[in-house]
Amino acid sequence: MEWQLTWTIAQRELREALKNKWLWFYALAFAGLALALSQAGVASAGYAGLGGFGRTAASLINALLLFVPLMGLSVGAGALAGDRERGTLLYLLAQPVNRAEIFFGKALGAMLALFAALGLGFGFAGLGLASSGDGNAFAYLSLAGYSLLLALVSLGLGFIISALTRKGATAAGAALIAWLVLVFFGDLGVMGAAVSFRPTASALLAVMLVNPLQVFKLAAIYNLRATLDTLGSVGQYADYEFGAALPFILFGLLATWIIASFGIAFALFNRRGDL
Amino acid sequence: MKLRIAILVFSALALISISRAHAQTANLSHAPALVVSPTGPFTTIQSALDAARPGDHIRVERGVYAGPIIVTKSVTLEGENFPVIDNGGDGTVVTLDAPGAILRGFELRGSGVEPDRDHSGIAVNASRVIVENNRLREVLFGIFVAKASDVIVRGNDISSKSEYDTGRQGDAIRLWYSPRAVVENNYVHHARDLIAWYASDVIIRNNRVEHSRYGVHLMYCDHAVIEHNRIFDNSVGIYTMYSNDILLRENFIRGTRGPSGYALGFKDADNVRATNNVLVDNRGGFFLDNTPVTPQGEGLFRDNILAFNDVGAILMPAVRGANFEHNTFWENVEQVAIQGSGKLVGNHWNENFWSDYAGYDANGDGQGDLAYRSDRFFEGMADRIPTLRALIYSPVAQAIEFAGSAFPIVKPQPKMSDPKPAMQAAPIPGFALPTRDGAGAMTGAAIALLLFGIVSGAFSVIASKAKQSPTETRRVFGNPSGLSASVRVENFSKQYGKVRAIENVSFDARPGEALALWGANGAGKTTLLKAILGLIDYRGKILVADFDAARAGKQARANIGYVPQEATFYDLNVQATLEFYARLKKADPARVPVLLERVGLAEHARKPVPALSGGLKQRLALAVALLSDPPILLLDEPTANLDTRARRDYLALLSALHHEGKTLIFASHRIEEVETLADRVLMIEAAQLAEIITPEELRARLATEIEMTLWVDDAQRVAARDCLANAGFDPRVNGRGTVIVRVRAEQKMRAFDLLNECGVTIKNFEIEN
Amino acid sequence: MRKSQLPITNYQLLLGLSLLIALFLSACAQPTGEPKPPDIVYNRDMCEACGMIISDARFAAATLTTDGRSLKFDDAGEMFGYHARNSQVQVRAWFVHDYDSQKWINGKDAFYVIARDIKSPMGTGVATFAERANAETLAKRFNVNVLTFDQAFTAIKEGKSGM
Repeated sequence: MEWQLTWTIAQRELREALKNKWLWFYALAFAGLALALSQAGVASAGYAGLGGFGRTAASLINALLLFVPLMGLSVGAGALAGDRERGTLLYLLAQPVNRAEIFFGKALGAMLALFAALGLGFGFAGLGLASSGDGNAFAYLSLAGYSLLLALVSLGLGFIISALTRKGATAAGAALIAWLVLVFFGDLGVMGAAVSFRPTASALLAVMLVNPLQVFKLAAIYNLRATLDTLGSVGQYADYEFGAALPFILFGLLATWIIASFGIAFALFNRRGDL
Repeated sequence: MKLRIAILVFSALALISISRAHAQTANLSHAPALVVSPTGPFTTIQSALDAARPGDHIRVERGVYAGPIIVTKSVTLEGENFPVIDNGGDGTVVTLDAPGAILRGFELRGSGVEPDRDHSGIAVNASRVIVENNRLREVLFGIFVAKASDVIVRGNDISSKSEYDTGRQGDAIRLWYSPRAVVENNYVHHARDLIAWYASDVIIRNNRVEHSRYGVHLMYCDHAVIEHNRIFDNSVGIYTMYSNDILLRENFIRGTRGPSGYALGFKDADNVRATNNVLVDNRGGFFLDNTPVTPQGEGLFRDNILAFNDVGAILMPAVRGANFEHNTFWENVEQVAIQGSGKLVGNHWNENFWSDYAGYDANGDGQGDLAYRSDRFFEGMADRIPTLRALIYSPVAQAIEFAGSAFPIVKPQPKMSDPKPAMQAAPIPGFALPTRDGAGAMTGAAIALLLFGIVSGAFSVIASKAKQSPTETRRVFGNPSGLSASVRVENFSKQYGKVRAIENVSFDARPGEALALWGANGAGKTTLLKAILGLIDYRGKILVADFDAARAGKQARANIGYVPQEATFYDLNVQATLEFYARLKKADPARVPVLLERVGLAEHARKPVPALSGGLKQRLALAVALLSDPPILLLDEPTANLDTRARRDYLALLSALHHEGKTLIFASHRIEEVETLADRVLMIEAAQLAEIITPEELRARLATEIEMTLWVDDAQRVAARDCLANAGFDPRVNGRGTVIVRVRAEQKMRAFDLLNECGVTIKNFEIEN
Repeated sequence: MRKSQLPITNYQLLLGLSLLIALFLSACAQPTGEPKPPDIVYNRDMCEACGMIISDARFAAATLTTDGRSLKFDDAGEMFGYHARNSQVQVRAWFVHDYDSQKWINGKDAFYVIARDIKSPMGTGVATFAERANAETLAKRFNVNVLTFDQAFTAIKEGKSGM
């Protein structure tokens, strides 16, 4: 893999991704929601300040769980499938570059585009929060950091979808389904299991940790509170069992998701004979 | 008038201060001070104590003194600038055994660590003792008041053994059978509890407790008043157990976390009043278990603010007779919860403010016209199945709440209802007003994130710094590399699933040679081109300029300029497109303008590619292919999508390149392309290489036979027939005086020429296919 | 279209995997035949009777019930008090801690010292010992007698303590 070629592809991908309306729409929606939260705080007779940053961030987590995977999945799903559909992928492969350079160049470009959108979204939201007197800079930066990790996980999943589909529209549809599964159906399944099987806290925790969104949620809450007891018995179990190792475990899980998803996507993309 | 008031006020103030000063002097005058300092007159505290009489004042100057100190006379021990009494990790540091003794202004360190011997910083065993403004560090228990009444513990700063966790640390302040104690203005941190056992009529006020276990814990203590305490980041806030007649007011409790993280907990407590407390960001605001105890007992919770707690009020199902009035329930994740199974009955909720109240106040009396009901669906489930709480903050939990409120088909039984909820939240009292100290750093963080976003995005326009090394810079124009520009294909086969696309093909393209791949659509031409580019798996061997296309595809492709049938480009302009591919091919950027000129795109350089016509796009594709001046050009149906004129120009370009020595391999089904460019033609039929022929042979095969009808004189008809027959044609004579002959299209003039030579005059002719 | 459905299959795989993990973990959590004292997480676990945090291993106690639950207490005296009040809860095994070594011991075989000035978390003043000699030492200090399990239970039940 040659860095210069990878970077050339990444730059072009970044430029194209930055033109993606949806990316900015989601980023804007998130920033708007965060701003609305901070301004709602101003309008609440000082109550928002009373709660401190933890509470604002907790409500941000909800918004992040919706928007960040949507951004990552949609950018990722379009990255390979769109090129394949247009024919530009074939043309690119016919140049003296190898598949790893194309894949990781595209991944890098898409990642930078997500970082740009999230950075600006978090930045503007942060200005809004600061102006309403609400803030814990370290916690906010950590939350942003975890969001970047979640964005990468969903980008990787988007790339898997992209590597498996030939049409941009199919990929976008599959991305939406994947998003629904991650955000709603997965949790709905967990909930159904909890209601019908009454699993132990440890079992439920294990099931939750399969979903990278829940891992993000746990990491973000732990980051804000240094404990998961807000999450009831499951959170308390996680606290007992892993204690101070918890943030490292959660970080590790997210990192594993990132590496695994991009690895799988690359393996799929690297099969020749799919053109 | 104003002046007189001022004078009056002034003289009143003066009077007060004089009388105070007088009182102090009087106090000092009948008790002359004994001074302890490292240089004397007394060098140890014990020696001063031995010499002192009851009522004496012992002043201890700055220094470090050894403990333990046992005070058996009712004296005042007063430290100046916090003299240290250090026990070196053994026993209790100061024991006050004399009624009325006063200990003030010391730093006490290093008690022993045996909990069943109550090793403490200060042990108080006599009534009316005052312990004031001391600093206690590295002691197991802080101030242990045992069986002593009317003791005052005031303004002390207490932390326990730092190497122990909170469970093993001792209590910061412990009252044990010590009625009428006053505990005020103390600062407790990193210790276990502030706890009172069997102590009635105690007052605990204005204390600050942080990072400890129980902020305030009452066990069997009646008639206590607990007020104005600030209790932050502990395991439990104020826990009242087995105690009656308790007043809790204006306490500010925040950040109580852990399984029993209750700001105000009550277990078997009767006649309790909790008013004007502010409870924020705790696991639970109120926790009630068997409180009030008796049917006539009071449990009044009034004018409290419960904000941002995981749960506002947690009630055991058996709780009866509690009154919740005028409280503000602000954005607790769950406003009211029942712990365990059962229903709440017999409690009263009146005129509380609920931040999630969805009703209205039409008559403007400040009270909602509809009752507030706590009947959220997911919440109800989570009360019954505690593990479900793990899903809070998840969109699915929100979705279920939303669905539950939008389609109230399965409305759960409300946990409680407040018939006349308040419409206005209570104002936040001054003692709990938030500070804005995070805003500065937050602005910084926000700006950092903005910059991060901008920098990430800016990578799209930052030019790649990597310089072209001279060895990598390819020829600006002209000579191909020293590598052989041949393409060798040996036993090439490709299957898609079970379908054979192409089988067992072998051929060579010599340097400078132009090979046409000829065959119907689907014959396998494109498959072969993709294989040469190394884009698909195949069996057999393909060498491109001595590089294996499968194993060294990148190097192979570096020698190939590929022009697809219909090139598709990114949404860039012509110039930028060429620059992009120039970087990919590590071509000298100086070639871009040269090539634009050569393919005739110079005037279109700034146009976006999607706006170009098909012919111009094809030229652009050729320019891209030529960027690194590769020795081999691979073209797929190069002129298939061009109009006549564009086709001619394009073929001229390709022809020139062929003459410059490029090796050309192109798929085609246009004879014109083949005739203009090809040296040899590979005939691909039924997934096989049928044969290799010349372009002329191909043209010959393609030309179809036509039927010529020739009108000649009757006399010459036989001669004409023989003449043509001798030349190898197969003519026949028909009844109408014509000779009919089938010839190949390019041979029709030969028929005329032959007849002319044989002296046959042709009067007329017709040609039919 | 066939390919576009693959991500779902992928997710089903993950779900299946997660269920396997869940099964495995719940299998690990099954109780075994010989009664074993439960693990108490000090400073986190709550007392079954009073809801207080269990912090002090010397006084912590636990019972296993016949229906498979384990109840944890911050104070051995409170354990007796709880079971005296809740006689419908059938106890399979009793556990207390040795006051000196802070190790779990069988409650039925332990020696009990009850004195008001033993500052147990709930003020019941019950200290528990594996060795009679150690119990005697403490009992002498408070001028009381060493009790057996049944005597201690009865004493608490009849209110001879702070409860």
